[in-house]
Amino acid sequence: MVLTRLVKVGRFSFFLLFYLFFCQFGCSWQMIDQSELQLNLLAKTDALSPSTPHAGPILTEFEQLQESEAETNSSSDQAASVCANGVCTIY
Amino acid sequence: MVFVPFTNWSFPSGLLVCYLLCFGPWIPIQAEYRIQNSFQYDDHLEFGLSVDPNTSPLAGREDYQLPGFVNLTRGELNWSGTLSPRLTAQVSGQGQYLRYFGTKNLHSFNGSMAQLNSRLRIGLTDQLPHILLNHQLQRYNRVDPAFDRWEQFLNLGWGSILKYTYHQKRFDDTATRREDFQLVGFDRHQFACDWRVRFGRMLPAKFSYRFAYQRYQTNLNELVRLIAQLPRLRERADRQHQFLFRLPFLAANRLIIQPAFSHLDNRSNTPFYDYAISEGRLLGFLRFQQGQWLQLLIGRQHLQFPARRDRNRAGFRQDIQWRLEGKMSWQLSSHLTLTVDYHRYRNRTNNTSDLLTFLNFERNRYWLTIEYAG
Repeated sequence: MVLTRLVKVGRFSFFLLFYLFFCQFGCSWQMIDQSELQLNLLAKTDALSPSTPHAGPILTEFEQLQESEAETNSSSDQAASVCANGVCTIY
Repeated sequence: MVFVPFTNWSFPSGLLVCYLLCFGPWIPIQAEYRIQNSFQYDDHLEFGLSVDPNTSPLAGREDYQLPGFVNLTRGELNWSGTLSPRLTAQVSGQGQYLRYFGTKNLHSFNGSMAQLNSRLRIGLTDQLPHILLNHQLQRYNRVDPAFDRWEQFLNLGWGSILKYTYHQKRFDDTATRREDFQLVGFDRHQFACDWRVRFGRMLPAKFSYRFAYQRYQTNLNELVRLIAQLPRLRERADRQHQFLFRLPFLAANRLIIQPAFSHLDNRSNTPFYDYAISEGRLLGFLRFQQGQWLQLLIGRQHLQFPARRDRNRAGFRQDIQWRLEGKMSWQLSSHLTLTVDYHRYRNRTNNTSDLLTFLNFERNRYWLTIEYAG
């Protein structure tokens, strides 16, 4: 049963990645700041514009905060754990 | 002692000096520094230490929740420079000192941490992402030596798109194999893949996938073994798959709302350690002006241990945790920043074992941080 489920999920993931990679829906891939890979969906013309200029400073500050918190928290792998002296364990 | 990555070989601690001597002089000095001091009040201080009735010197079965204050002083110095047009190097050192004020013998957890970090950024072309190489070495010292340890990280990345991380943790006290719940060394290999997806003119959504393989040392967790009535375990090794998705959108000129979802699936060679964590979050970020903002987060986590059978209705253990987090930052001048944080966690478990009743708890943390950067 688990194997069947895995095969289904694997097949779905493969086709999804295949479609996204070759952009079968008229999308486009774009490199942002020589660092991030972005898939632009729906509106092809927007893909040429830089990432949402109207959001400018707030987005920059927001992204910086998200990244710094991700570095210190390592996200939800510590989600339900307990930490003492920087050592975290899930009971 | 410092351990060589991927091995159990150790170097004497003079390696730290060599580390600085090797990396330091190469780099044209462009120094930055930060000094930070924070005061924290926590009504469930050092959760784990204070509650584990079998291992903690602070433990009390009637009142396991200890309130107290923590003062953290941290200093950081960064040297960075461009060695060639395509090669940038950065070396940084960080030190921090932690002091406890409160009930009982909390001072035994006073301690310090020192960290050395070196980073190389290599740009092969003007179009493709940079190659990033990073090594980080950390040393933790406590008044109570049970927590003394080395940790090191080795990162290899291709921009933010692909990243490999090796994390090694080694406690000094491996000889006596103290049966403390948390004193477990490990080696962890993690592969991460991140990309952004933009729907029309919306802000880009972020997708992440992480796979990790983690092998623990053998001084593992006698408390859990007793609770679960397991025979002595062979060496534990886990495989983790984690998916993250977050979709920020601009609700107003100064307001970003971001729903996020993550799922982590942990599979161990011992089914007792199989678990899954699903987490939903809603985050609001309000920016007043540059350096002045407020962030609020509400989250719900669901932890499941399918192999941990229990007499409860579900038949196995499940925990639900609600989180409420607030953070406000205020840049007082170009050098000085004040930050105020508040976290509230509420955890409930359906486990009926008396030994795990401490997992039904509420925790409140308040802290104030002042930072000077130059």
